Parts: sequence; structure tokens; C-alpha cells
Amino acid sequence: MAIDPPEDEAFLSYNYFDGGGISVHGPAVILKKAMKGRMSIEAGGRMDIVSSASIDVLTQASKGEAFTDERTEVYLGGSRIWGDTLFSANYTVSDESDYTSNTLMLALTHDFFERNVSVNLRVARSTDDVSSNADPAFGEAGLKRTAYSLGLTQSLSPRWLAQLNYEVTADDGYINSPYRNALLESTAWVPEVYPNARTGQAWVLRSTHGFLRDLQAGGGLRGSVQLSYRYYRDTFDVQSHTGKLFYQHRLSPNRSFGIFYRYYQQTAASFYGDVLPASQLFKARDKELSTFSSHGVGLSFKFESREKKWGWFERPYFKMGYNFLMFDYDDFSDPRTGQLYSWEANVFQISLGSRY
Amino acid sequence: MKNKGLFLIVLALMGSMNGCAAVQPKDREFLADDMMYFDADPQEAAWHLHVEEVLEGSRGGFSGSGGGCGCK
Repeated sequence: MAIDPPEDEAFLSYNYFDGGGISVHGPAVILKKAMKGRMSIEAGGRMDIVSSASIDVLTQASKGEAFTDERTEVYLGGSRIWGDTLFSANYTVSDESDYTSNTLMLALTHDFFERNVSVNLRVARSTDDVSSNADPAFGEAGLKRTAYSLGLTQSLSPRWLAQLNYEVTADDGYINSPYRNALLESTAWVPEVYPNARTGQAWVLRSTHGFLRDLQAGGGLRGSVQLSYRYYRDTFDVQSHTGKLFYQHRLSPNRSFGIFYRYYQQTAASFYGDVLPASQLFKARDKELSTFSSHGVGLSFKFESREKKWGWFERPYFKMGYNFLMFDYDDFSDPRTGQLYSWEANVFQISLGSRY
Repeated sequence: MKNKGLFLIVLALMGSMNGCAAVQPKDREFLADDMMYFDADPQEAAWHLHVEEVLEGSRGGFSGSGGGCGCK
């Protein structure tokens, strides 16, 4: 915690996701420039190359064929420190063939009581436009998303931090997908119908505790364990519990690894159904709105030089990570087999960065 | 509304703890270590948050990431 002075930093990464018939991969780049130790500007970009033959695409889309798409995201941001207060803002533009999004984010962080307590306020507002590649007559539908969050971080001891966050998200407009259909009892597929507003609330409690290295081994932190829990509920009647345990271990002053386990469980939206009566007004067969649970495990390795090296590259670092995810649905079946659906995913990330 | 009230009470309780759990500036060395950060790599965290928000029906609480995704 506590507000850190900004640094000049460059970051390059490559991400890969493969699972459930969906493949997403692409690079990301970020450049930060500090000014006078109190200000910074930051710019970045990301590209996601998507290839999808998901169960929704194969069983519900009008042609039932896989598709490819690209998403590009660019952002520009800045921050300014006044005493114990940090103000930051950024603007993000995300664009793909059938979805554009413009997001403005403003955040304020203030340290109190000799930096033992830190309060964070954040507002983000997105203006999205949704269209359909399958149906040009769909035109464009708008969606406005707003998120307000309040966070408090407290140092409980020289090696123990706790954090409490509360966030409200409010969506207003076209929330569903123009491609997805609901299955009626008559076996007919009809377009989904969602309410045009959704408000969610999330409560998060996190704690990090550091472990000391033996003084004979040089002192300092040997590792840390982080626990987090989130409770979420919204006006669609979705409720979820998310728990994560993350352990980091320092092998040497410049090499460390991390492992985590994450559990997620949610209940279905009130208007979700694997099969629905035609008389129901709102209809959804989105598996993300069904009752399901997921398990995630991950392993990461980081190398960070402590010295100024390679000309003007300072403390360069290299990181790679692998996550394995498993999803099991309680009330979402594969229409081709009639069996409850489940799937697995592999996620890789590799990144290179340096201060300069 | 009841939950918002509860949240404010917990916030107040946590805020009041600083008096008994204050860490002096000379003892802050470990708190500044990367290993104590909740999101030591914000870029990586933002991408994973985006993936989770696309695949799950819940959002928020860990500071969000912008952008939509029509890839489902």
C-alpha cells in the first residue's frame, strides 16, 4: 500500500487462451513516463485475435459455423501526486467488428495515519455499441456501463495488509448478445430477451501476509500468502462466491514463483433456463448466467534483475505464467448430447518489462 | 441498503484499527516489497479480470477492465 512515486517503465506481453472451442491470443504493450517524480503519463495497446467454435456458436448461431475476429484496445492515462493523494485518469477505446467500447476512468487514492490506511475511490463509465455480423438489419444497440468503487487498505502489522472493497456496477441498455438464442419447450430456438438494466454489488476482502527469510540467508521477505474472498449479487438474481489462495515464494533475490488456487460458484439468473416456457417474458440461455462452479490453478515464475543492465534498461524483468481452468454447469446442457456441459481451458502469459 | 450499512460499519471498524496496529515508518520496509502488493502486476491482473468477466456472471470488486467481448 501507500502511494509510490512513478517510474519510467516499458512492458511487453503475449497472452494465450484456449478452451471450450475458443482461442484468444495476442500481444500487449505499455509505456509509462514519469515526470518530476510526481506525475506520469501512460499509453498502451492490446490485440486479441479470437477464433471461436464455442458451444453457443456451434449450436445456436444462425449458420452454426466457427468465426474469427480481432479486438484492439488502446488507452491513454495519467496520474498526479499531491502530498498523500494520488489522482489518476485514463481513457480506453476497445474495438472489434461487432462491439466498440469507450471507457473513462477516474480514481483518487489518499493515505491517512502515517500511511497505515489508504482509501481509494474510483468511477468508470463505458459507452458501448453492439452490432451483429450475422444480421446487418440489427443495426446498432447502445449500452452504458458505470462502476463505482470504494476501497480501504489497512496495514495491520509490518508484514500484514488487509483490504476491503465495495463496488457497484450499473448497466443500462442492450445487455444480451445479438447471436444467442433461448430454447423453448416446443424445441424452437428464439432470440434471447433480457431486461435492459442490471445493477450488481461486489464485496471483496483481501489479506496479504509476508514471511521473513532467515537472517543468515540475507533477511527480507521469503514469501507471502494472499487470501481473497468476493461476494457478488445483482438484480438478475445472480449470486456468487469467489475465493482465491495465492502463495509467492522467493527463490533468490531476483527469482520467485507463485502458485494459486481459485474457486468460483454462482447461482443462475432468475430468467435463465436450459429450456424455457414460451410464456416467459425474459429469456436467457447464456451459460454465464446459469448455475455453475469453476476451479482454477496457476503457476508463475518471475525473474527480476536488481541491477542497471543493458544500457539504459534498468531492473529488467521476465515473467511467465500458466493457468488451468475447469467449468462445470449444473443446468446448462449440450443440445447435441443432452448431457450437462463442462469444459476446460489453458491460459498462458509471457511478459518482458524494464524501467529505464 | 442493509448491506451498505454493514459495509460502512466494517469500514469504520477497520479505520479505527489504525491506532492499535499502526506501523511506524521505520518498520515499513516489508510493506513496500512487491510480494505484499495485492496486484503487483496490474497489466496481468487486468487481462485475467477481463477473461473472468467474460466467462462468469459476476463483475467488480477487484477494479475492472474496460472493453467488451463478442467472442462468447
